Amino acid sequence: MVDLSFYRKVQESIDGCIKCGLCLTICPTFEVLKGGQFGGPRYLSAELQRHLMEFGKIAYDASYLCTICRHCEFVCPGNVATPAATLFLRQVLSELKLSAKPASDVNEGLKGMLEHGNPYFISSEMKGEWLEEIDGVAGGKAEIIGWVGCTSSIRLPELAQAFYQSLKKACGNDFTVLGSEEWCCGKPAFLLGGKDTAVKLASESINRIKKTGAKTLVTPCPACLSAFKYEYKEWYGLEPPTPKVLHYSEFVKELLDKGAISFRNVAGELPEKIIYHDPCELGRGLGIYDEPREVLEAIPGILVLEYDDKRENSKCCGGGGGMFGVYSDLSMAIAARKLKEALKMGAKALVSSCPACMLNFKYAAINYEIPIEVLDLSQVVEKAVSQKS
Amino acid sequence: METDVLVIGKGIAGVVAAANLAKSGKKVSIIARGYGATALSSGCLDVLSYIPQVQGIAQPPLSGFKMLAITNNNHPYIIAGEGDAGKAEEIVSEAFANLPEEIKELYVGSLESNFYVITGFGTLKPTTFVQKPLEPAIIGDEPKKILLTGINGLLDFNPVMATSVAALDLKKRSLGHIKVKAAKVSVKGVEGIPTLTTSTIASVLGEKEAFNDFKSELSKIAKSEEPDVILLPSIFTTPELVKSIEELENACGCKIGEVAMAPPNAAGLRIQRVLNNICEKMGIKTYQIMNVTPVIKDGRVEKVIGEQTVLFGKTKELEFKADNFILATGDFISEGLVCEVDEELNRTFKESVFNLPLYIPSEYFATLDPFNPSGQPFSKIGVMVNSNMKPVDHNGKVVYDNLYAAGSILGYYDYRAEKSGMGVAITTAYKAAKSILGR
Amino acid sequence: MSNERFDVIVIGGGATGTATVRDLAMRGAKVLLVEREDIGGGGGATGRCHGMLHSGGRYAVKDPESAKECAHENKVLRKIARHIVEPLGGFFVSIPPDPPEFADAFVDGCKKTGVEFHEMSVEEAFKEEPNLNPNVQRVFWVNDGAIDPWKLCVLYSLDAARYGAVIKNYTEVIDLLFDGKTVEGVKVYDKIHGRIEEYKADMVVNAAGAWVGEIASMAGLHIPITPNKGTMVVIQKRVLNHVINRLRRPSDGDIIMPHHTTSIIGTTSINVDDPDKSYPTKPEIVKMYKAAVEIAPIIRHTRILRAFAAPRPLIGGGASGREISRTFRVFDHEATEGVEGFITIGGGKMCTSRLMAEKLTDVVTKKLGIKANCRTHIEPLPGAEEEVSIEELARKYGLYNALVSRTVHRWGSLVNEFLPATQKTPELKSIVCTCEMVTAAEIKYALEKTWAIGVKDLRRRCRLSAGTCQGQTCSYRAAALIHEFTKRPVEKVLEDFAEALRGRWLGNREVLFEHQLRQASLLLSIYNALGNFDRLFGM
Repeated sequence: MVDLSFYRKVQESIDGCIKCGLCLTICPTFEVLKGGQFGGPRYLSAELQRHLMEFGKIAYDASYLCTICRHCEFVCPGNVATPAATLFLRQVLSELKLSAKPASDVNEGLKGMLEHGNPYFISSEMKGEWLEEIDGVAGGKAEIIGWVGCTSSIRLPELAQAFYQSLKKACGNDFTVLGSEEWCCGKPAFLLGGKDTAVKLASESINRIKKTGAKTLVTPCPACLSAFKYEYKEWYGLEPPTPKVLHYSEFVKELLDKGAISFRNVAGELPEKIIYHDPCELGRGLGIYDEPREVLEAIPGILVLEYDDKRENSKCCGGGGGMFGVYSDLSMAIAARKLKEALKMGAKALVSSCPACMLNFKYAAINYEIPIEVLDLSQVVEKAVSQKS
Repeated sequence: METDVLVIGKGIAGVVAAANLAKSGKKVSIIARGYGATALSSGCLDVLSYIPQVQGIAQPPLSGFKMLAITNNNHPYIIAGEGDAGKAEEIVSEAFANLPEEIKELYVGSLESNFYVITGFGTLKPTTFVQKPLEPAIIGDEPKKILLTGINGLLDFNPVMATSVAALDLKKRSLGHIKVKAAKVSVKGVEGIPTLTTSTIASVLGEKEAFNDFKSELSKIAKSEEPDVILLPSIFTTPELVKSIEELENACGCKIGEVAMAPPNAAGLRIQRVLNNICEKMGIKTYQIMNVTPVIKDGRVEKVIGEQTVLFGKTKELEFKADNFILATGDFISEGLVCEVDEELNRTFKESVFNLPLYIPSEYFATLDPFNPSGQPFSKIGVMVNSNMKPVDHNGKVVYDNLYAAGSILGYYDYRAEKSGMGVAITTAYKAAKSILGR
Repeated sequence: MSNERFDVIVIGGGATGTATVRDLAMRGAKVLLVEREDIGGGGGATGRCHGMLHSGGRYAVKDPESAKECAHENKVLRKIARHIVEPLGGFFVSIPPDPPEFADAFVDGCKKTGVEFHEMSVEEAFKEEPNLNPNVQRVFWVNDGAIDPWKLCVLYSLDAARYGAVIKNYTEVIDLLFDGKTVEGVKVYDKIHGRIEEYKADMVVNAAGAWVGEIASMAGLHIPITPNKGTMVVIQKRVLNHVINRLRRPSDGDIIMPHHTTSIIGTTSINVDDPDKSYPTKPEIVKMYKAAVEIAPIIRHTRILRAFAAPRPLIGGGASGREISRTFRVFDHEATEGVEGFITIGGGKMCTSRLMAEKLTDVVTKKLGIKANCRTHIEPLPGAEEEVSIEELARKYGLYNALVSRTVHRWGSLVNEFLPATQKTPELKSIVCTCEMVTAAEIKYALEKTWAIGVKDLRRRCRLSAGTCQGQTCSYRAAALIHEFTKRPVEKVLEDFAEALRGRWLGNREVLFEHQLRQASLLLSIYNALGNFDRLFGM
């Protein structure tokens, strides 16, 4: 059933497009595809301004080419929310159950998410392997729950481990994780148009989190954060799982200000020049630009570089909006551009604070043979709070 | 957030105001919802080219102020000059002299004279300053052979049409010493692209191989045509690409530049990038904020509250307190002004943040001919200000004691008919800053 | 050219004239069509109608003859013009205060005239049309559809040309030629080449729509024609999936018509003295708008693009426009006034044009001794012959799905006439009109093969500038391509470009507000602030 009130909001927003074309100058997909396969946000607007549903049926390929980076929305003179319109299109497509790719692949993916509790078709027991590897303990009751997220726990165990260890060190028994009991926040399903799937996943996640009795949830994943903190309420009619929901960088900044952690000099143990990449979901999505920087600046022994296009002008890595699952080649091609730029600026490592960015950057670096280390903020922090080895 | 001054809008008016204040030691922040007309700029910086209903170009631009003071003494230039044409000329000169260095470095030209520049349409447009890459497109007194060189697939600059139109326009204006000819080049890797834009071409040319191919194609044409100038579409988006123009010039043995094009183009991106850099360099924090509502206390603006949104939801509500506020949100294009209709299709106009009283011309709304050189009445709709750039009501009374306005949000003038947009933006922004600084 | 002799000359390139040329040519006559402006764009009813493929339901009660004709032709056009017809279906809805008795009269009328219909439950109707006014009381389904009237005229002409007909647009009849009392030809002014020509024929057919009276007066004859203005308002999007009619006696603002990417609201009915002076006025526009909002309240949240008006050619003077029959009449001037070689057809509707042409051609061919049967109801129009696969074409030529979909919706299988050229010349894939998705290849084809000369003609062929930006992005691009492809002199091209934008503006002016005002501001910034066209054209 099409959500009519969402439809109306999308239509009203899209009507503001006056075909100025500014969106085409910064859309990551448009840039990499060069306007060949995809006409950019303006193309989506041109269709959606006329008849929404028909377009979805025809242009199912274009509908999944958006990374939901919201950069177009942020430069648009009319503040047209094209990413939201894309989401709506995907919901329509999901209902239609098209047999054409990639819509059919997406629907398969949604089924898998519901069954396994993650978007990677991995059985949920394996979600705790990263914790077992470091002899960590999951469950029980604690004030603070660390929500690792599917991407970190399954695809980036080094991130999950760094996240866990750094916070365990600072918070001790006040801090716990769910390990293999962690379910999926539902965001990937939501991003790919499967709102019903997302709501089901969300409800289960909330239940499991509530069992810990935690009052604060900390996550290294901006997508999960946004889901818990805002989308659950705004879109699913569910309350956030804990009264306080924070990104890892926000929480570490708090600890730093309180004096609950301190950083040692890591010179020689980490690449000297590290460039920070603003994840779209964290920056444009949640307005969190300062905390990751303040945390990094507080670590002696590293030099933090900045892209020219930073903060709300930050260019998308290409891994968001579910695109890494649908068109991973395209995601990595988009990421490669930022990696090459980082190299040109003299950076030896790229650090972001988002598992989706890290996953995409990591594999792009391998595929494109770009000699740059890809790190998450948690790994840098973990180094700075650990003993010198 | 608390600052001395909060500027709303990050186009040229907003940033020039903020920069002038920051230069004098004030703590300034900018909130904005997105880009506006500045990012859509063609690369020209208009001060005053025409006075509506008057034939001929204002030459030099400031010489038109005497006529303006007579025909339209509510014009923002004249208001900024406290009603006096001479003072208006002074304040404009002062405003330009006090532009941030980065903006000065981007443009060539002077207040001493207007000149013609060739547009992507082939028409000649009189303007006062152009961005450096457009310098070769300026029509001067020396004879020139200009090769209008389009890129295959980029429809916004059709050299065949532009050449024919330019020849016509040059003839009409008795500029026979300028000769124009058409040429076309291909850029490898963008063949057959349905939506080819200048930024795509720019990103392709960022790769060494494609750039070298382009360079050799251009130099082949240059060798056979021997032009004095080659004009390309607006493709030099980044500072690196702008630097590479010199390499192209060396290969071709002639000057290479851009025509003044419609958006989206490199010129708009260049000026917006410069504005963003100015903010960063001067420690002016910028925030992306939507749905701004003011909180008024005792006839003053106490603070404004804005939202950061997540896909139609609300995330943070942020408060911005300041001693003074500058409104530089633009006109209808960027929704600084909005026009609503009721069920009977009767229009009401609103200024979208403070709901300030607006000047609305009493004549008809739009002329029959979109090409009427006197302009459109609706283009004159906007906020009324006193000589300190403080918004006033229809009785001339200041609305809020600590609120200022600058740029195309102002009423009483049609920047499209006059070709005066950025000049007014810079001057009124400077005047607003000056008023706040108490000078 | 002046020495060429024809069997028949048809005056008027609207639906009637072009359908007639097709029928005559198919039956073997040597035909010339002269039209003072563009095919389907003469300023008359065809170029500015709803584009409705009537089921006949609208006339079932008050104009049964019309209803019967519409019901019949509806089926024919769905076959022969399959590719430019959208078989949407139509709803007749009753919303208070519509008189409930009218529904009974409607049912009765449909039964008597053979108009297909059935009643739907309101719940069923809302499932298919969620945007309908929630107060709808009764709903009847009919076989209404949407058809592109400009395209219909072009396809009629293309088919006629296949059979040897000569098509001349921008050729205005300035006088008839006589041999005694017999009309033996026409004297025309060729606007493109700026010269006067004369053409002779055994029969001159006056199919000039609202101007039949003017043409007939050149022979000293009087046709009782009442030009009657209908104003329509264009909304920028589809808000409904069917054609929606009000279930009441036909009155103002009864219809919302999906038309390509827009919805057309209409219409009014006001007698005018001069058919060339049919302008949409603000009170009419407001009336249409309010009527439409009554049918679909969501229209309050859409962009109004423009308003337009055109003169209907109603036969018979004196009575109010809605009472005069919309059926047509053939005036055999030899029989009635003793003027040989001249015949007039008056009245009619776009959707019965083929039938009108058939009846007229029967009369003409009889007079000329041509013995051939009408086949216009059987032969498919160009582009309707075969189905094309949008996805296959998109893949083959490397174009976006939605772009190909729109193009196929405009041309049917005729796309195979111009898409292949993109393989040899890839830059023809460039999109000229971003709102309506029109490629340079399509523009080139329209210019070379369908008598399109200027930007306005391209709008009728390809929908260029018919979108939300109203020509901002595409008009100059198109003008440049016209200059480049056809080598038309730049002064003429610039004049044509200016007229095209002026034409858009006249339709936009009264409805500039909200986002459309923002759009107009950007358009003026581009063409005046940057392009300086206001001073170039003003010089």
